[in-house]
Amino acid sequence: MTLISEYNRNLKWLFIQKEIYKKLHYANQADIPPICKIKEINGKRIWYMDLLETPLIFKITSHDVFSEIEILLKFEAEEINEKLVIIQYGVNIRLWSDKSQYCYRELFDSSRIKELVDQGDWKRVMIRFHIEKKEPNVTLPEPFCHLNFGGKQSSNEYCWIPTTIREPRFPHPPMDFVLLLEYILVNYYPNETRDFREKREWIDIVRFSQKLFQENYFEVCQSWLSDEDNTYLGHQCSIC
Amino acid sequence: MDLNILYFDDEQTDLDRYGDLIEENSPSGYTLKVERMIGTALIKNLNILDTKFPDLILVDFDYSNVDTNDEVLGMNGVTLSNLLRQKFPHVPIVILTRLQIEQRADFPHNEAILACIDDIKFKEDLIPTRNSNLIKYFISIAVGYRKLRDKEPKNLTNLIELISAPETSFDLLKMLYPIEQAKRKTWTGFEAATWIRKILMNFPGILYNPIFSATYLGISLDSFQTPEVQTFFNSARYIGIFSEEKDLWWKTKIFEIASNSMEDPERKLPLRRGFIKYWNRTHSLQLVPSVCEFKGDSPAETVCYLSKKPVLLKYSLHYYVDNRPEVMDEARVSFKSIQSRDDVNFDLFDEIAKEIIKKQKLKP
Repeated sequence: MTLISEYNRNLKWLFIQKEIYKKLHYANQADIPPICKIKEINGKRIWYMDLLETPLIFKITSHDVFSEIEILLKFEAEEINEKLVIIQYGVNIRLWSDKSQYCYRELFDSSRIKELVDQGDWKRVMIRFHIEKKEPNVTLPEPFCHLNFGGKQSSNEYCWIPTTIREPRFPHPPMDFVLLLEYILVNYYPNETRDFREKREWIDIVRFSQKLFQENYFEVCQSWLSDEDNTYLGHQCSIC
Repeated sequence: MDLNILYFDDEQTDLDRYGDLIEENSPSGYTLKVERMIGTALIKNLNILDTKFPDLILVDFDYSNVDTNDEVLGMNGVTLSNLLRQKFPHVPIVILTRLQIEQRADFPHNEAILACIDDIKFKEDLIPTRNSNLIKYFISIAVGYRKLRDKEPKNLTNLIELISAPETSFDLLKMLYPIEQAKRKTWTGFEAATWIRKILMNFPGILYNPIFSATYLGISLDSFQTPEVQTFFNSARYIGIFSEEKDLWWKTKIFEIASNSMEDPERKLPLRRGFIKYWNRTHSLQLVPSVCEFKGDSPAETVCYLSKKPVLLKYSLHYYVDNRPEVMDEARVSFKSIQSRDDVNFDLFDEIAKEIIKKQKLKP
């Protein structure tokens, strides 16, 4: 079995687990789990996945503010020695609320906002953030792979955070769909998925993704920590 | 209480011998009356059944013997049970046969073919020295069905009442209730009994047996079975119909009793960690934690399907051994069982689990 078929098998397994699929709703697409594809370029095995058009949306039922978490993921990575070296990477995460007191705040929001959220079934993005790989040729220093808040919004988000905010950018390891899923379960379904997260199958699937997507990253980070001539963030900002 | 049993066999000697054993060994408070019928009696006049009102039907499997008129029934006990099931949708039907019958080539092992019967039991277990409790089982199933027959209207609310379910389990029970019966807005005794006995009481999830209950609380089976703990959780015990068959406990009720007694810091922990802290803080009897059979860690979180011993989820794998409903706990097999038992069927693991077995070198 190839590495990518093992990875896709993991994704398929996750999507038949009630702890996962019962929390999902597919806004635009058929009920199919995400699949990672492969292309060969000059003898290189490039993995790619694009969920920008088909975001995964999780229902959050027991939170005071949030009602949904939406994930848009796109990456390209080269397979080298059973690990992935990131070529392109970006994940957008939006947390929506359908609670009226958050969709429209009478003391802060204009009446126009009320009209707009009313047209959009009373949904509004409360917080949005993204993790991305540094673009080549950036002029200002930024970590190799970083997390930041805000960003360009789609038309119906009305997020409180101004779109022009570009900083701070925190160094952050790349995360595939499985690793993001673990964050979601831990943060938004901590008790109801406790036993699920203890299962050997889940632990092995997460560890498989850690090895693929993060082992290289952390090995390099570890080597930077022992460099007496530069700082960790300095290294993060100097590589591309 | 009088209970009428209708017993079909092709041998008069068996009808007499086992019929007598049932009648003579009725426990106090019950009078079991066995009406004995040679199977071929049905060939001549099926309408004979119109005048029968049994509480339990016993059916032999093998009808190869000829009767006094040189006639044979021409069907086996499972086929006969199918016919009887149509006539008696509210009466339990049990195949009563000889021990070796399941080894016979003509015995149908297919679940769908056997679906019309309640159980298969063995004649030899009626011999008093075997202490099989078979007569107690006959009484339990007959009394349970009688309660189902008497209940009107036959809707979900009344079914829940018959099983004395705590309110905290209502939602799960509704999810578990067969969609066909929900649509029809009624049930037959057989449908209701099958749902209770073969689903609700059979798979852990809503009701727990003692080892699952103990593990759910994070304590050993011995600790769970101490009189103090049994008394503490007494109101969680399943006392609905057919309860004589198994010692079972309502999971949600166990949780409710435990968490109502615990203090906040204990309540914030998973039950399997919080309960033992609470108990050992407040009682002189100290409970022992449930121990994983693979690594000896505590508290174990589930029970191995094969060994029936507690195990951590991370040292066990999903075993697709039956078609239990989704709301029930999944069957898992411990690494220890995988390593040491001969009855593990590796076809019942999914591909992820097979890979883990390989990586962990659990089986050569």
